Amino acid sequence: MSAARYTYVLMLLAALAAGCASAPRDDSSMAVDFSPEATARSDDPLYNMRRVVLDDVTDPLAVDDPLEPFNRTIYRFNALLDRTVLMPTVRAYRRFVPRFLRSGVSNFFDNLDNLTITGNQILQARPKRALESAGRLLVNTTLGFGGVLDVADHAGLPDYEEDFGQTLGAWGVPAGPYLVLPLFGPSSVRDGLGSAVDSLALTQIDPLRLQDRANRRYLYYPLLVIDTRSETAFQYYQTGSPFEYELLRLLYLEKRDLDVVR
Amino acid sequence: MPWLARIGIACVLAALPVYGALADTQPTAFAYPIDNPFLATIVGTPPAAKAPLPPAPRFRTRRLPRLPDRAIPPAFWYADRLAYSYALQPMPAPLMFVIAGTGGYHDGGTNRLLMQVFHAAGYHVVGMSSPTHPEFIVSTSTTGAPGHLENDARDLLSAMQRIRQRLPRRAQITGHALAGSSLGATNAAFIARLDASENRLGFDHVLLANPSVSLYNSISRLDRMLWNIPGGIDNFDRFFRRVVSQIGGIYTRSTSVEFTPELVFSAFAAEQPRDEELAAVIGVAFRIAAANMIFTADSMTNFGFIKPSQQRVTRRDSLRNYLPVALRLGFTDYFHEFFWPLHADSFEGDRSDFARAQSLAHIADYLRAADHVAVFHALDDIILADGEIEFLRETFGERAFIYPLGGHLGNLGVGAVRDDMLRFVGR
Repeated sequence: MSAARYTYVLMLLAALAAGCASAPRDDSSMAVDFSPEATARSDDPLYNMRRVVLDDVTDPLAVDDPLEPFNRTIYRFNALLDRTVLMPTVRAYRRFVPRFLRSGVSNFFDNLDNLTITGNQILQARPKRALESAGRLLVNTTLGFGGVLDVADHAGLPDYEEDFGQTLGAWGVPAGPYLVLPLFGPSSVRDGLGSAVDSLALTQIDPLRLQDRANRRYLYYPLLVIDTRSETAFQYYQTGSPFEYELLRLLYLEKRDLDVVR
Repeated sequence: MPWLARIGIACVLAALPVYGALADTQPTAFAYPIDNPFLATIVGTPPAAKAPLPPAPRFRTRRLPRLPDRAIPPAFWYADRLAYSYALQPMPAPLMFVIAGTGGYHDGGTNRLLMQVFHAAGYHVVGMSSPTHPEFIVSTSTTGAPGHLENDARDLLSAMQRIRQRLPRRAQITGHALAGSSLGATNAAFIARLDASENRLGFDHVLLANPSVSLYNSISRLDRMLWNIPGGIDNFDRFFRRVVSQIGGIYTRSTSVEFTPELVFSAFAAEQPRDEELAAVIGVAFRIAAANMIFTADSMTNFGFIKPSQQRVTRRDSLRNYLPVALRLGFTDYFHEFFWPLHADSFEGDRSDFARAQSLAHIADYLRAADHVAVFHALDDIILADGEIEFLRETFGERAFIYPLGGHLGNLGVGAVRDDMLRFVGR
């Protein structure tokens, strides 16, 4: 039941944010003409913002989104890409690659992330966490056969998620406008910049020597995309909601606020 | 491991088949641990109370082409076909269709649970989305406005027949069965009647899990749940902030947890929420389903309910003027000011007759005589009004399986419920 409940909870949180029904309707709504002539085909809909939403109601769903037309175009592109390319690939991946290999791949990429995570924890002046993440990297790379086994988890080393977007946030940089990135999905101007810095840093360190070995690159990047998608529970338009863009936008921004504080 | 423990485990394993054989003759006692119907509705069957299931089969998903001549509004580009899922048997077997509840997708949790149970019992299974799911409204509903039980049954049955033709040819189908949960169960009852009167698929067994008896009673109760927001409806914003800070508090304090539903529920349960808060959360979940359904139906019919009827919404257009409105209206607003006006001209009778027609009571005579239709319900289900359980007992007689606890669909994972279902279909 968990996949369904996941979406359910996502949507639920988003709607909680809408402050729904917080506005009592004005008195004129009591005397509505129900006849089809009065309701249909008029220029004004039966219900609109003016009629049901009070001016002084704060609506968390009403996020300032100056890039919305661009974002919506990319959102649709991502959903189409997901349906036609990514999910079919992930299904084949799950079908033909045994579970222990898939979790090995997943652990490998997670372990590699500890490089940038440690870096960001240092930049956030959190030495204890940085040590723990560096320890994770060390233990898993050596005892975990290059990271395919998550030994550090059994040793009780916590698994942090930190990126440069959170580092910027920790030093007070606001998220900026909501931004939907091609392939990567929901982000913000700050977090999009952060992701770019993180991946640039990783290519500079280049722990796998991808720069001078093309065949490694051809394995690394597709596998990274497939693993990331396979590990993400979200399915586009599972609830069929025409408001999915709005609901997801709110969820992303709320969650990132929590991530920064965390 | 100590040798004594090994022997103990071996004995338990050896006894399992015996226990399985006993279960066939001796009904397992119904045991469900949650006596709060709101909590039961949210949590479902807790893992400890869940009867073990064989591993899930590999479900395949396909998309049924839309109705001929159906124009898809640009904003609903993603809903141009009706997705469904299926899992087949390698040998000849009957085919069971499973219909989701309000706003439910074909692969939703309850649908998957029922599909898994009946696939394990030897059925080919097909999962169907609810006619209230936007994808169904856009691609498959002939009227574009769901809630009319006879119309919806017609749309569903046609879609089921088209899906049956599209199943792989290797599927050897020996008969048909039908199951539904929540609104999907009410749909199933109407489909059974329609199918019998027109001799189409022929269902040997029809299982109704927690059906709504009267749609109008159920939607009124669901709409009213939002009135449980602590401190009244004007405090919704504060209620939301409180829930977010509860969840956020647990999330930020812990380091290794993911942002999962289990976390959300444990955060919520840790605060020992009062019934009013639980009801409010359920009300919110249904309110989102209502908002999705209403905006979709409005877009398909150009009724002018919350979107001006002349207005074309493109793929890039913001919906910021529609979402807050849609969320402030409920199923009952839809019924009174959209759905009834849509049907007032063609329906013989007044508004209350129309509401009464959307209920199992409307087809009680059929249900009383339909020996192949059984109902499974809980005494404390939150979608039923007073007297509706008695109606089910009186109408279905021995084919009514009423459990003391479970709220809305919370007890479907319990072994005794599953045993009753399987025994009814003779498996």
